[in-house]
Amino acid sequence: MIELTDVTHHYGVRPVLKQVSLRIETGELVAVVGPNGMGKSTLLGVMGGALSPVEGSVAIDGRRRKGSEEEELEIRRRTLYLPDQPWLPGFRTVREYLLSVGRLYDIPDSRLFEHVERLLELFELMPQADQPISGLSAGQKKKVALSSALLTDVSTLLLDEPFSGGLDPAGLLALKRILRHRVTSQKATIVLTSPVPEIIEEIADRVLILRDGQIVAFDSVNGLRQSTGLSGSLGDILERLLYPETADKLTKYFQEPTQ
Amino acid sequence: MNRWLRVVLPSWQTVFMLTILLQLLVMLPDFYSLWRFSHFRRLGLEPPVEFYKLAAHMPMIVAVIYGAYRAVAFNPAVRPEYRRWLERTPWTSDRPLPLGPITLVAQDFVILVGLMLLAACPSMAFHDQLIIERVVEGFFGGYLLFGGAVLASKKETHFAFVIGIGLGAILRTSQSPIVCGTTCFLTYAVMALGIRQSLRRFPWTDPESDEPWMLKLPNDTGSSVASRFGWPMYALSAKWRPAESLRTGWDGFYLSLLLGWWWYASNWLITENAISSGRQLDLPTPMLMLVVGAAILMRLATYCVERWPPISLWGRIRSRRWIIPGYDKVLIAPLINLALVVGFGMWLKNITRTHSDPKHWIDLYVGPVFLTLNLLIAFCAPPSIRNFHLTGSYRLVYANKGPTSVKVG
Repeated sequence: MIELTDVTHHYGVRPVLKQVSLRIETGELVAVVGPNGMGKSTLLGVMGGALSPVEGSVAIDGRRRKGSEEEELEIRRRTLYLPDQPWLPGFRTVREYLLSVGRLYDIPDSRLFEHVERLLELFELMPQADQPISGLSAGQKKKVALSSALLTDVSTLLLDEPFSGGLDPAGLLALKRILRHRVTSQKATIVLTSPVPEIIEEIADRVLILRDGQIVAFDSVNGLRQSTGLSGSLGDILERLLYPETADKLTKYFQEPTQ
Repeated sequence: MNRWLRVVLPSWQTVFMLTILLQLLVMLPDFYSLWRFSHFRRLGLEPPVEFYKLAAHMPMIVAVIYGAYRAVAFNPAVRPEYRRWLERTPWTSDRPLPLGPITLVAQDFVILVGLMLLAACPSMAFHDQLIIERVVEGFFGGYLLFGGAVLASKKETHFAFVIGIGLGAILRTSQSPIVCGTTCFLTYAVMALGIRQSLRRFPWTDPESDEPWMLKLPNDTGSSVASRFGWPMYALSAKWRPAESLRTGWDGFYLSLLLGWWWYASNWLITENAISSGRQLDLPTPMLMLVVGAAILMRLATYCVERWPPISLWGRIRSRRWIIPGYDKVLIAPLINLALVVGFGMWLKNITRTHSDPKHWIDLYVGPVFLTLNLLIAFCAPPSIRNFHLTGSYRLVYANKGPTSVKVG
């Protein structure tokens, strides 16, 4: 369970998050959506411990983030945050890196070796398994980063743009299935950001819509349909809630110039 | 005899190269003469007297090098391949080390006596009794300094601290041969106990790179733990450990006391030499400030390079959040250091104006106390780096990107 209370953050003068309060239940997959620069990554960074909010607090499974050494260590054992653009050790091979991360999160060796093999197979990384990470393509590096996150047994996964960064259709499909599996069968709590409404509609239990650092809506897709009175896809709902001016702009764009 | 000595001596190639190197150093003025005037020792151009003094000190320099060599040459703590091999053998600490002893043996004393005889050789233009004693001090100095550092790296902190105190005492007593010799012997006895204790704990586990969970690979040599996991995987994990760059806790406490003690002992030696040679000595205050400045910078770098303030300076000013307690607590210790430096500078200015010759006691007593106090603050003042990393209000950044780090996306 993740609970944010009155979280406010700004890097410079412009507030990126404004008194955000929310509660994400255990075993729930929440997708954060919103226009660029509206605080999605900041929100995940604050939850993940990479950023400290200027005001407010974050609690994960009842423990306050950075509240005390013991609380923070316990949160770290149960939580993994993968930013949009993480860094990987280029000199290590894919297999070495995944095994290292597994050890970092105390996965028993017997299970770790077997899980690494399954992930390599799933993400079609087997031919590159013993190659240095530096020689991989952008999409393959993204798969390695995601594999490292999925390898762990943590109960809370915070993934910033996991579906971006050059993932191929097979990778997208595999990731969607694994994330749903983690939520349904392992009761994991997952928070992710994505700009693709179709993917969110398919996997998310609830959708958190952010605009100007504030929560515009936080509900299931059906709940959003009811509250907006729209019966279309999540894309249509987002258009109404976030980008009402986009339809007008498109109409203008396609209009033939009058002579 | 040759076989007997081979137990401790380096290979003949090393001895040969070292001899050539030292000989070249001694012949430097001759080479200068050859380059400048096209032949050796042009008449009327004698090399400066310092070169002959340097030649006379050669046995002492060799003794220092040999002492350092003896402390590390057969020590598995500084030879990773030897250590790994030893871990796979049934070796235990009650048996002799296969490559050679770390503690001193009879052969070492034969070599030491040889060097002393060389120092006493009448052909040495500037030889005197002191240079012979310097050979002994040099040998123990090199041996204890390097040996103590190795013990400190193996977490034998208490032994390393006593050895450090002994090293300072050797400097301090260097003018009285008997006291100095006794100090060398006593410090060596502590070192021998420390080595025994350390070998008893073999195979060692290093706090940073030898955690049982760490996947050890041959290509890890020289790479930091953080770089093996990328970013922010390790920095946000529960297994994060501070790098050893800043000594905190007992390590920092001992180091602060030691540096103060060494400062006092070396100052005493310098002052004594200056008085005996009738020279006027300048205050070492700028150097003192430099050391304190370096300690402040080291602390700031350790805490702040990867942990930036949550908001920019401009943001602070505009939003009137002048103080962010969760972050600014790391600045308290450097600010106290800075206040002490300014206060000390002002006091020094005042004292030199009112007293005719206060230099001697300031150098000897006030300087070391000032240094120790500042280092204690820089190394030991709260919050600890671990506490700040886990509970501080900062923005985590990847500042130490190595050439091998690759960005995803």
